[in-house]
Amino acid sequence: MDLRFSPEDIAFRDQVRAFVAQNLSPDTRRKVEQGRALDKADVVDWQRTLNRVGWATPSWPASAGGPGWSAVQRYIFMDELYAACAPEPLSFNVSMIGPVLIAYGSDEQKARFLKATANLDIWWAQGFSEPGAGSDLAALSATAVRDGDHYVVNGQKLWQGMAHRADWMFTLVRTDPNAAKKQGGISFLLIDLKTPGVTIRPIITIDGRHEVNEVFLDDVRVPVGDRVGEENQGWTYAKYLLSNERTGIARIGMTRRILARVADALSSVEAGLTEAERARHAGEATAIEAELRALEITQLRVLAAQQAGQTDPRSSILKIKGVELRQAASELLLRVVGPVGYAFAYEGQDEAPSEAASNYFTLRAASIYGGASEVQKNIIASSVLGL
Amino acid sequence: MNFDLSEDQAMLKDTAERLFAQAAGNPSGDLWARMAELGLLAAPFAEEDGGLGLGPVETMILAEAAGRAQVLTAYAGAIAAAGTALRLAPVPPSASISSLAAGEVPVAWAHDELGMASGQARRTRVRSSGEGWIVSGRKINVTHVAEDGRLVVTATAEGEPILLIIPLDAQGVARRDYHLFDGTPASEVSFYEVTVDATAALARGPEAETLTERAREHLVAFRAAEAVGLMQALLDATLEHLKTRRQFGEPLSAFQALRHRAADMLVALEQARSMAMLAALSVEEPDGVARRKTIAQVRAVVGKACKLVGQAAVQLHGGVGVTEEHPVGRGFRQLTLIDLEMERG
Repeated sequence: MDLRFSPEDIAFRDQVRAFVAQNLSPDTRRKVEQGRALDKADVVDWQRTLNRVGWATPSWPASAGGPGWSAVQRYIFMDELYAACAPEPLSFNVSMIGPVLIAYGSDEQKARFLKATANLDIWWAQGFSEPGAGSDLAALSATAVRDGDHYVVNGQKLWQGMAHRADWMFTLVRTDPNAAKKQGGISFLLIDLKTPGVTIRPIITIDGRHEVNEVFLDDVRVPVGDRVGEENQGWTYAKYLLSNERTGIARIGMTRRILARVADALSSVEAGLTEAERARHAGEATAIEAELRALEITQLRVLAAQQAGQTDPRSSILKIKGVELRQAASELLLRVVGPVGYAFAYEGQDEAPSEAASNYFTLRAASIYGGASEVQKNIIASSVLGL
Repeated sequence: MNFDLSEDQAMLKDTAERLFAQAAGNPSGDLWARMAELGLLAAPFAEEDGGLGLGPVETMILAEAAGRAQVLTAYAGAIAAAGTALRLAPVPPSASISSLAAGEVPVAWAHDELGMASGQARRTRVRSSGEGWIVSGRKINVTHVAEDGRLVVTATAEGEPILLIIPLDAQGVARRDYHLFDGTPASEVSFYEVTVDATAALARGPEAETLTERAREHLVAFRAAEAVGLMQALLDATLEHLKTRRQFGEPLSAFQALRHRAADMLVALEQARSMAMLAALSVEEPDGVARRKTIAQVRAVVGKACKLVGQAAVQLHGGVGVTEEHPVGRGFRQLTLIDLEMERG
């Protein structure tokens, strides 16, 4: 039993650290550090910077143009990005659709999409949820009806993160309404968002920002060649995508960044705290930090299991606890920042003096998306505890 | 980086689990003698003192196995705390160590005092007298005190910390025996002008302060691992209960509120398990600042988990969980004591 990284891993860490220090733009760094929204160009530039050295797609195997890193290297890489206040590679591209195309895409799809996906020449949106299908995703009702060598797609998709920036959307549609099980009649389609019949409407969330959207699909014609894998087998690919989404979701480095802002705010005169309040908040920060340290070890344990080729349903623990701590840290920051944090930047307005409120409101969604915490607990109860 | 046990460690785990399972079924048997026979008491000590030279990971394995079986042993105080003070003393007292490691002369850890926080200077006073020392004061909650044993005593001599080893049968040592709420035999030990010779002092001044701190850190690491074993035992029992107990025509495991509470128990347990491992891997860390911070974090996470898992286990068991004879009720009391110890350090 040994917690230390190998000399090779440490050399790798130093290499990543030096690269990020040299190549991350100060403006992007400042935005991430302060929890501010990133412009499209910030995300694209950084992804392309990483892609130039082959690092934009940490989880992709070398055969698919990825770096072919071990689980430990991926962990070190992400940890360094968080510590340096660098953005993550775009998860829709890198963690979601990329691995699905690698595992289940046709040769033609791989040739057409993988390089462009890695380089963010194509920005992907995720078209899974619907008004009537959230945690119960298989209840989705968007339909695709075969018409020659096209599908005609109709339906409404909800919560498409950054769809207003996106070029393409990967989506789940019902191709067999008569399937015995609701999971059985679903197909996985790639939709060019410029296709006639696609309408994207913004949804402004409680953080004051425009990140998510609803997408209406009215008689949208999708070539059959843009279906991933077999017809009616889409649920299998979706489950694969969701399991990839969960690994690394503890986002420990992000919580650490929030705690660093808490520490700054605690020592700032602007906060206007009494000594008793300051001590109470500092105590809470210490408690979060302790839980975060434990979660880091838990994550390394899950990683070590993955390294040994075992899939670990305990990754649900990472999601639940990771979100709980990020939410707790963001709430603490809001309380510590004080009245300066009450001013708010509504969508399209100039930066507010503090993003504490916006970040707090943003993070309320973290226990809802990517498998709500209650769904994660159901997974633990059935898959880990055998209940 | 790896979290695997070596082959020897896996064997140790196996041995310890079998031994403690037997002991749990036969509380009147002499567990301490059996542990000595199997070499478990000798684990952390240097080979030249009759020890096996094993490390904190082995101690963690033993502690977790003891917790899992819900047995009460003297190991935490005797080997993890007092044993560390003996082992890391500037001049380790070989005779005391080898007799402790062989199971011949037990040693108890005498630190707690009424009205004092764990890290404060001790009220037990020591003054020099010719060739030796004279000790006056009172210790509480000294666990597993044996008639023929010794005590490692934290005290203050002329304003400076001091650590002494004192035989129970020294003139002027008095004890009042009772039990802690987890069932552990404990004593209040009073020292009325007890005279000991100069060799009784294990360390003085800053060395004594460090030694006391190290002993307390090893105690935390042991109790953290013991808590992990206990929490696993309570979680296992709770899952069994949820699957077999039926109400409203269904097994309890069909009710989502209860399933979610069981999931909460697992999350807390895994966090504590991570910290018990971290404690074992950090407790010999030479950088005192980093080590102190880690141990404080271990205490915070493990204490919280003890409370969450213990309370949930009782609640999910229903009425039977609050009965004296049920293992879950007893396990809850054991976890509650560890929670309180973790808070006070």
